[in-house]
Amino acid sequence: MAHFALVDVDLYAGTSSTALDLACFANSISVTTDVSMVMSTTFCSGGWEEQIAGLRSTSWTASGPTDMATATASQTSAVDEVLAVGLGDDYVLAAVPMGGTVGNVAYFTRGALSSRTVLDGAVGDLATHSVTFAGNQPMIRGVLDTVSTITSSGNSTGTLLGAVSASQRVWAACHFLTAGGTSPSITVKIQSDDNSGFTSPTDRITFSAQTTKGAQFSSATGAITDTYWRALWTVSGTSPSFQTRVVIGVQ
Amino acid sequence: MRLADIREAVAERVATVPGVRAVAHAPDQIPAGAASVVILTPGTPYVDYHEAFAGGLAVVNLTLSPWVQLTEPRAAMARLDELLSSGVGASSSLIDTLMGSDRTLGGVCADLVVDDASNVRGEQSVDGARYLSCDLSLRVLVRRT
Repeated sequence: MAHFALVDVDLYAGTSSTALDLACFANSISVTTDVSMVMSTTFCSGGWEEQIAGLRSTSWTASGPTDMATATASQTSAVDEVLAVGLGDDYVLAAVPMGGTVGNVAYFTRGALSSRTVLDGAVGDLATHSVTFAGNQPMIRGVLDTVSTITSSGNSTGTLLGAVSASQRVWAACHFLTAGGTSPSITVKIQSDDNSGFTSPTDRITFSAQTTKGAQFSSATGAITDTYWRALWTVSGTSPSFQTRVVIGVQ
Repeated sequence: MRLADIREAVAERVATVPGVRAVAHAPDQIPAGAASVVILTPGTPYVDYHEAFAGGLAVVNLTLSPWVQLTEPRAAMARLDELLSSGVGASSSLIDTLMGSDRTLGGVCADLVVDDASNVRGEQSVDGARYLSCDLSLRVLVRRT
């Protein structure tokens, strides 16, 4: 791997009933994790301050061109439609810095929409916006497992992510950027196995059935000795079509 | 994003102004006998590709240069003013034609903005005809992919 330029970053943000590919509405992104340092200096500290790690936090800030368009169920949404009414709401968030190719590193979490500049710019300028999410879940470093327009039941190829220790969890998020067809429904499971062929898979996470655009976030506790992970989906409806992204991580 | 499509679409729109001939590239010479010609040339930078991630937005900068035949100075300036006037109606104004109607050029772009008119000057074509000219800065917003 080498250094790279932030060009084809994929950014997903969604609630249970909205979904957004933020990439085309952003030209700047900041994904941050912090820990508050707590002073623990005593008379026994030898004349040096001592600090220990306190509360951890995450935040996301994105800004770029805005768009006031309204989309149908089978179209990807524009930014203002999704974020206009969501102040304080929880959003499932995923950033894929090197673009939307299966296997690429993805950072994902869930956070509340804490700040939004709806419109910014002077006359004649490009109309821009900015948005900040304050995380309420850990920031997970995982992989993009699924990039697909799903029209029938199936599964992803799967990824070697490793086992989950007793102190870890397996985390996953689904983003359904479109939900076309008549009465479409999709249910995604995250499965593990001890081999890449998934000859004996075990369900680890089962997401709720999704019938609209939306995003879901979930996790399962360790210990799990399986090392291979994949998404499996069951689809129903008439001509169903879901533009789907699934990210999975062990942490 | 096909740059040629964008240039041609702008030229097509410009050519709807009565009495104006539009050329979507830098010509060898000003078309003979044309009273008002608008020449499209790439601006600087010509294209800014990264206005958003994932090819979400690019900006194409074009320079539009109206050339008005200068047979009599007052009439030439009046004609140039007519083309550059704003808020007077699309039938005679180049600015209103570009900015006042469908700014997507029929779906070719997301939006367009004329920023300014500057550098009013005298020009002479290779056949010796004299013109009054200036430069309009046009920004065209378009999806890169």
